[in-house]
Amino acid sequence: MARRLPIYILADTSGSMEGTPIESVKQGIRSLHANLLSDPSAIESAYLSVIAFDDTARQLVPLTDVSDFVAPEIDAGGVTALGDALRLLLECIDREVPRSTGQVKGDWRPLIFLLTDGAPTGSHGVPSDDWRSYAQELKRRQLGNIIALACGEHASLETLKEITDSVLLMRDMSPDAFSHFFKWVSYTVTEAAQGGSHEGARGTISLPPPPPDIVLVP
Amino acid sequence: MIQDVAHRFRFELLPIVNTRYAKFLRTVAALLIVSLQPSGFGADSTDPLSANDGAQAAARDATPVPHLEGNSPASTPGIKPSDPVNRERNNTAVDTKQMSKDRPPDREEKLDERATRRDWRGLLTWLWWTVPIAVGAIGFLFIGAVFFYILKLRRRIRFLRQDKELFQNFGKDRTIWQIVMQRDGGSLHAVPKELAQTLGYSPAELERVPFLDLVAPESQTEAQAALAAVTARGRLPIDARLTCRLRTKTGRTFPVEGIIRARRGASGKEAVVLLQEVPWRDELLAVRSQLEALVTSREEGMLFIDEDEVVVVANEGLARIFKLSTAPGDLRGVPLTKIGGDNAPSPGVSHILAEVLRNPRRFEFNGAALLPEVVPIAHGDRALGHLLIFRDAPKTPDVTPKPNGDVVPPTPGPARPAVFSDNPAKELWCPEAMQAHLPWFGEFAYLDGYSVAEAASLPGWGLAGATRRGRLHAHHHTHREDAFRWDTGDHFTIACVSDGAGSSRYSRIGSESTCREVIRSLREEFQQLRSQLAAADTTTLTNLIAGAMGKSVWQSSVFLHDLADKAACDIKDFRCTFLLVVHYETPGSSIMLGSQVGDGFIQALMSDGRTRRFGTADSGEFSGQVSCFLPEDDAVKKAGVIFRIPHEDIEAIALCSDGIEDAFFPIEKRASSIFRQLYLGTGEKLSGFDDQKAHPPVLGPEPDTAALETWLGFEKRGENDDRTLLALYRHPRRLDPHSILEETAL
Repeated sequence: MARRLPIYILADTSGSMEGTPIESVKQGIRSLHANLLSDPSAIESAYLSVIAFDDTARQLVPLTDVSDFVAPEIDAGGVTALGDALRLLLECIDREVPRSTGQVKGDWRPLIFLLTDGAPTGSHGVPSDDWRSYAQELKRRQLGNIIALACGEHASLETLKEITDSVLLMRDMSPDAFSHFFKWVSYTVTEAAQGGSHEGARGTISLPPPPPDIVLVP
Repeated sequence: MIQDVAHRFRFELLPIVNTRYAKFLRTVAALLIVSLQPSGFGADSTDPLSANDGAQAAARDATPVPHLEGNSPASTPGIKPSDPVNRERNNTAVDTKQMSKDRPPDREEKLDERATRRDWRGLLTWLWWTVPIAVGAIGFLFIGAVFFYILKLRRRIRFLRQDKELFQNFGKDRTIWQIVMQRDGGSLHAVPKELAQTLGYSPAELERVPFLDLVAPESQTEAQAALAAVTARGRLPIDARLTCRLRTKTGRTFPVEGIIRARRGASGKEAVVLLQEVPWRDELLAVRSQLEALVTSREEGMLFIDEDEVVVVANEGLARIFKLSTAPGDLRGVPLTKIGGDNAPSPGVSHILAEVLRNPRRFEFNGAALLPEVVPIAHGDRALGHLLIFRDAPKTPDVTPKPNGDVVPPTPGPARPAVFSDNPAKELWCPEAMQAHLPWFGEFAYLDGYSVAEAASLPGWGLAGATRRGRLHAHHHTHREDAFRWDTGDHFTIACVSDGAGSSRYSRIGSESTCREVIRSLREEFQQLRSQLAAADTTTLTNLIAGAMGKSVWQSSVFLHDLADKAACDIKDFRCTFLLVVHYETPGSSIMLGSQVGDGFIQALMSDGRTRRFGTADSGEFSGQVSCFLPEDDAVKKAGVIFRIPHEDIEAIALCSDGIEDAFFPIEKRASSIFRQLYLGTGEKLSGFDDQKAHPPVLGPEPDTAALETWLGFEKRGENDDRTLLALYRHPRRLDPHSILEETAL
């Protein structure tokens, strides 16, 4: 099997995303899928997975060839169990992404897009820091290039900064802003699919400049 | 407004009535006692007003106060009289001028004494003085005093009277009735005319009637409880809320609510009842009873709380969901924050309910997924409270693939064809500003050549090399980033392959420059070391060549650093991998050395038909991971690790970029296939490949570069990178290509 470029989309589906934001995320995933299908390098290598998290984290779509991918239905409600999402992400990467061995060439380092509009909370809605150990695990093992999108003003930038150095802030949660973000994701993925032949061992990739309504958090 | 009036009533009128009148009376009594003791007046300056009551003051007057002198701030160690604070304290204490207890009181000196008194706020409360009056031989002492309390009291009473009128008018407007009754027994003292009329009585008829007689039978319990509360022992005033129905003379009842206050009134222990008719209350009770019936009849968890977040009714469903130890009926009147309690199985229930009330979101509790709903309940414009409904939430189907394969990804359909286009590069191969800094740029022969092949026949060896732009670059209008370069001289052959990092902007220039600079530097080194090399034994030759190789890589790094400075770009823009093989042969000895930075591979076909890899690819856990690139310092150090290749035993050696390695991974196992196809030509495609076009042998007596280019055009899904192969092979060959093992065991 050809080497794959795993793309994990971790979407916050808590109650605060209800309405336009969650619909925009769904639409964004669909447009991302369509964009990837128009790029031959993505067709050959991109694999998509969607993990939704609210009270718990669920992998809505296992890592699937972009050709076979079907955008999932997502509903919003509940709290923001970010810790559970990171835990599930670790599990999924360990289970779905083969690493290089003497016999097998491993997949490309996964690209992980994390979208959230709030701070991590436990199952009862109280602030929780169970995500921290999983974030540290992700960083320590360098299991992927994580790009976090803070949606709106209430997203916890501090939390996202602890998870990854690549944090984007989208103050406006309008459908247009989400559309721009997912276009940018498409571009990032196709860039990674083209230029992924070499990357530093630290796993950092050079991100294309974000769209005007999204800023890179220093 | 009513709160303001009540506040003034409570905090201004009552304290004065209860305290200051009494204090005033006590003060007068004390002064009378003092004035009746003329000899004792000057005996000390004890302030009669400072006594709690007249008797105590009199008792103190009757006894000497030896410590009075010590009360003077001036006599207190550490306190200076000039201190303004102490001056203030002087004023608040007895301010008699220097009355000394040590001396017997001198009446003449005392007669014009004045004293002032201030309260705890520093306000002047009274002023008194003494005037001697002599009537014949009898001397009298006139004591005068001005009590500021009296002045203030009168003013306050006037204000309070106005407030009272205001309050009464307000009460009439809002149908607020004030009833005064005996605290014990509840017999009525004063009933407002309006209330009496409403009840169908005259005020006189209601005199001394027990208050409970006016309460409807169904409200007797509540009224008795309220009365019991205010008759309980405790510090006055005592308040109790009262919600009940009053009964008229005709038997009609109507709802009222209000407050009962127990106080010490003019008639002794009395209670004041402030009541307001709440005609809407019946309607609310009707709505509430409907809600209660609804809540108790439903299966799902329901909880109705009033505006104060106190439980009105809860049902069995709620108790079941939250595993409450308290029966739902017993929750009535319990604040939301107290549900569950410390002894309940789930002490966090109250917290959850409070959270749900603020933010009703799906949550899980004790393994059940719940979808709460909060419905505000109102009747007209009057809010009644909130109804909390807990329904089972439809669980999102868990499609997480389990390790045992319970849920698997969708069955992949036929692979979607990826159609790549072949496009010219949009950018110049080298920006114009950079061209002047590349000394070899003028002789750069294949600026627009996306596929390049070269061949040479050397004494005893043949050489064939080609590089081909990958489909990704062709599709995306970008340049090939691989480069290869070779050179040969009297005694040496140099072969190098470099692969520009895809993420670096000018990696194509980096790879080309590195190859060229290394070869240029090596050639210069060999020229300088010519005499030493000619006379060197194998060991010395190895050291000299290895040193020259390391130095040449360092020189290439220096070149790129300079280029970055001159072109004002980042050194990382030139990142590339590097493979180098040098063969040096003298009449006395012959060596072949290699060096590797990054990925790609150097693979040799040994004379026994096996293949062998030299050097170590720099790879990581995932594809494409390389720890360091030239021209970075770490990579230069890594390039200094030179390995020896036993050239006597090799039939051919190939330097390949990762575009080939990835397609033939693991190369240790599949390199034999490469050599077989290069020696024998390709008739059938290899397994795992989508296409391999047929071509004649590449490594023949005359290297066939066209065949090599064709070979580099193999198609394999997902493998679209640049491909470069540079092979050095013995000619004439010593090995029958058919004896090359199909796949070499690891």
